[in-house]
Amino acid sequence: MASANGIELNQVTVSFGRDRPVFADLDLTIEPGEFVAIVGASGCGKTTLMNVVAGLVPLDAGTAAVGGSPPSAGRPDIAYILARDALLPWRTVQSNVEYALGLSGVPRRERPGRAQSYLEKVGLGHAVGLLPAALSHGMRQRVALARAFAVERSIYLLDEPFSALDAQTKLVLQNHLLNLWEENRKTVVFVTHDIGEAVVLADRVIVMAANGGGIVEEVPVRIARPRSSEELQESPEFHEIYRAAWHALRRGMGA
Amino acid sequence: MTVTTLTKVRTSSGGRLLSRPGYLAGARALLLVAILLAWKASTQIGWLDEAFVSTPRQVAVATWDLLTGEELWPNLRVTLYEVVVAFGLSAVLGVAAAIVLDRNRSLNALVAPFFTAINSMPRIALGPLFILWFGIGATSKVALATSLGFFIVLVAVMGGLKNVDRDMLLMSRLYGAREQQLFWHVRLPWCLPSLFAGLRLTIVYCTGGAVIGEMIAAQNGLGLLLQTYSSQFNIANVIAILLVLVVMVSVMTGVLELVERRLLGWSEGSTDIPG
Repeated sequence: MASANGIELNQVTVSFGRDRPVFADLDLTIEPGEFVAIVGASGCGKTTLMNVVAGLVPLDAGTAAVGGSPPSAGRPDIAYILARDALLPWRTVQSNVEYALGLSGVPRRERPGRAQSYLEKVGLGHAVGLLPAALSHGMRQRVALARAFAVERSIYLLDEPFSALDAQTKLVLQNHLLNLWEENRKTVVFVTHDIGEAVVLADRVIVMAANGGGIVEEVPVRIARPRSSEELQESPEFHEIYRAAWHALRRGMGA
Repeated sequence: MTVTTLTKVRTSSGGRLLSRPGYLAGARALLLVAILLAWKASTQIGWLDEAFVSTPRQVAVATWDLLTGEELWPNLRVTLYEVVVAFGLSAVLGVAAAIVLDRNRSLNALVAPFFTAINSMPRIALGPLFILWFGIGATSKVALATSLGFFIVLVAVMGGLKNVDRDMLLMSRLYGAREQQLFWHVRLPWCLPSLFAGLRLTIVYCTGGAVIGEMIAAQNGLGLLLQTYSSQFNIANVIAILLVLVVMVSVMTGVLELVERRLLGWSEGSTDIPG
């Protein structure tokens, strides 16, 4: 299944040269167009797992295939959204998005229109001329989302992009992400420590254990799409899956 | 820039009156008048010897005579030329060396102790050597001034390059940036604030270097005038020349600030990058 835009990890071990591996013999298959969330306590290796897919971490054992080929950094089919927005402070909002478009090889004349249209999708059409210093944290992360989706990659990796936001802003950002994703449903791997966020967004929640235990459980999220993060907060279905994921996480922490 | 910073500090420490621009200018004028009065009074009472410190009136007259006379302008031109050339050389060579050393860590490790050794030599003591090597004309002063300015720019830019935000580099790489693009789009803009902080100091130190060089041996220049007037115990003229130097440095710093404001408008308040 390592074809198209899927991800396939086989018996992957990463140890960074230490005696105890971050995780060992890890298997994970992600279908093309699937939205997968990875949850786990801090230090469980979820960011490392993501970095394996992004090609930023070398494997000590096993094989990895992303979109049918081995992972490598800066691949033109993968977009990586970091926990920090990493906006360039000397560029305006619009210019920050155009910068990523330029690096991705989008022709110069297409950049302004495309940047503008994606910024409008995240509700920042009015802020295109502002510098990042003038934006709130939530707005900055919306620019980062627009930047990532504007380059139109086939696989999206998001590493706790909303972890520093307040609860309310988080729900808004989740909706923006869901809307951007619904447009053409690319493969998404979303790392978070927030189970609620994982259930709202994903088709499947992968729970990782603390202390190198790897993947302990997979919780399918069979909630109809398109979803709204606000409405889900009141749905019993959501809370049922939340509980299941929560128990899995507790088991993974050895509680 | 300095002025606004000072104002902010005063505001936060409670001096609310001084935060209004009109009051601040007025208070500064008052402080200047107080200093001049104290100066004048001390010479009249006899606390200070007029022969050593002159008086405000004598300095004012000397300054006027210099500005309207023949002597000042050709010498000012020479000094200005030396400072501008040394500043340009310091900026270009300093930035170039910083980039090369930042890119080649092993080369940096090799030459760093030598650079430190050269930079720790008191440049005033090197002055006579420079005059021996580069002659009595402007070249030796440019060399002396550049030997000060170069290291200031080098250290400032290398410091900036070393602290480049790693997430900005990583993000750019993940979007496909090559090394050259990282340099132009991330590293260079990132270290512009440090470069400008260095360039401000460079103006001051290049001026000092040029003037000291002229004081050691020269055919013309403000340093030569300072040396001549000092040996004649013409204190009023010495102070007048110092005032001319203050204005010269202020004008150059002002020009630099204009450029800085154009290039670094973004940096105001951007230091508290969230996340």
